[in-house]
Amino acid sequence: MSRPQAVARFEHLCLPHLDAAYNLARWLCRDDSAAQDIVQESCLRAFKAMGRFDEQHPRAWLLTIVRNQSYNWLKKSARQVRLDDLEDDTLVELSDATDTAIETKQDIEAVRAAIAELPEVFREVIVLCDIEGLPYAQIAKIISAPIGTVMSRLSRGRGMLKKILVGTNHDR
Amino acid sequence: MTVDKTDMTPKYAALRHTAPPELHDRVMAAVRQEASMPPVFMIFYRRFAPMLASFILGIALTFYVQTIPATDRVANEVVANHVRSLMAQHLTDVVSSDQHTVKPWFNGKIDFAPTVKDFASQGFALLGGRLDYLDNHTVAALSYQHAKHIINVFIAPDAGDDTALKHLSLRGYNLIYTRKSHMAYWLVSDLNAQDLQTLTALVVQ
Repeated sequence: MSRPQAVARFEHLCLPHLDAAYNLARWLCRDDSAAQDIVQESCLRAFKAMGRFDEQHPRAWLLTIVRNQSYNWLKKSARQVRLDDLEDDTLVELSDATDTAIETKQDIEAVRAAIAELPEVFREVIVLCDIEGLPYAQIAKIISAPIGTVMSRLSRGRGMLKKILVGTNHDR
Repeated sequence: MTVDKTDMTPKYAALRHTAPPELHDRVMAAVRQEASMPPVFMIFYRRFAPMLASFILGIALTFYVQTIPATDRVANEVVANHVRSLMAQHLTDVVSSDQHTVKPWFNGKIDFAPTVKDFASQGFALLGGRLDYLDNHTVAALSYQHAKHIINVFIAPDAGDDTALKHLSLRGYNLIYTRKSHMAYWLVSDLNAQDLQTLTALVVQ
């Protein structure tokens, strides 16, 4: 593959998912400039690895790199919450409470803050599924875990989210 | 499979962060720069080429030094052996001008039978024989005298083909090397090359 071809291929396959990449990095790092750096670095890596690019799922492929880069950044800045540190192991039943909760601008901000509070492992599945709209199978690929894990983390994450939101509502 | 249903409108789509417009340009600029960079092996090659070159040169030199002057190295040994035989008064282990005494003396000491002859009638008197060490091998050494000159003759088996006489001159000594009938001969002396060649012709028959 010639170089201009490679650049064109990158533009065609990766660039449309720049928002998705930025969204994930931004949600994981909670830092705008770090997210931009991570997206740039991830895109470079994706470009260098163009040869083994998964054309079927370019978004999942790019997001896998972004996720790894984000975790590296988190590790470096020691902001990561370890999964072992989490105590709440109960699965929380899903309800429609969170669906109806974001009707006003204020509610959006509340959910935003609530998601930001979640530990990374839950935040990333919420971001990938509920914000980005990726199918479970692709999320499983990105976080390299079985679909069952994706679903249980989603369910736990949503439950935690609900708890946080209900808590803030009570405070009001 | 329902879990693989793509792109349903996600619940929190409104929370999606969109990349700042300049990120697009930034990424493309970085990718284009990356594309214009030489491939990794070129960088590697440019950085290490001088080191690689000197390494190869070094190896080449080593082989050159080791292989080319092999006979010169042995010639040095021949001269050294000759000088040592004269200064340490260890010219001969078996002192005899009788070839029938000298030749059997080598039996059991070396695994070949050198030709031992006295050429006193031609002006080269056999002084005796001894063992010596040359080019990592035990060799037979015969000593002759011509006028006041001592001549050492080193004889060792050699699988190579016969060669013509090879004259060398080293630190004032004359040397002759030749190979005949699977025997290698080194003659060394302060004798002139002409007389040394005469003895060579006698020894190597």
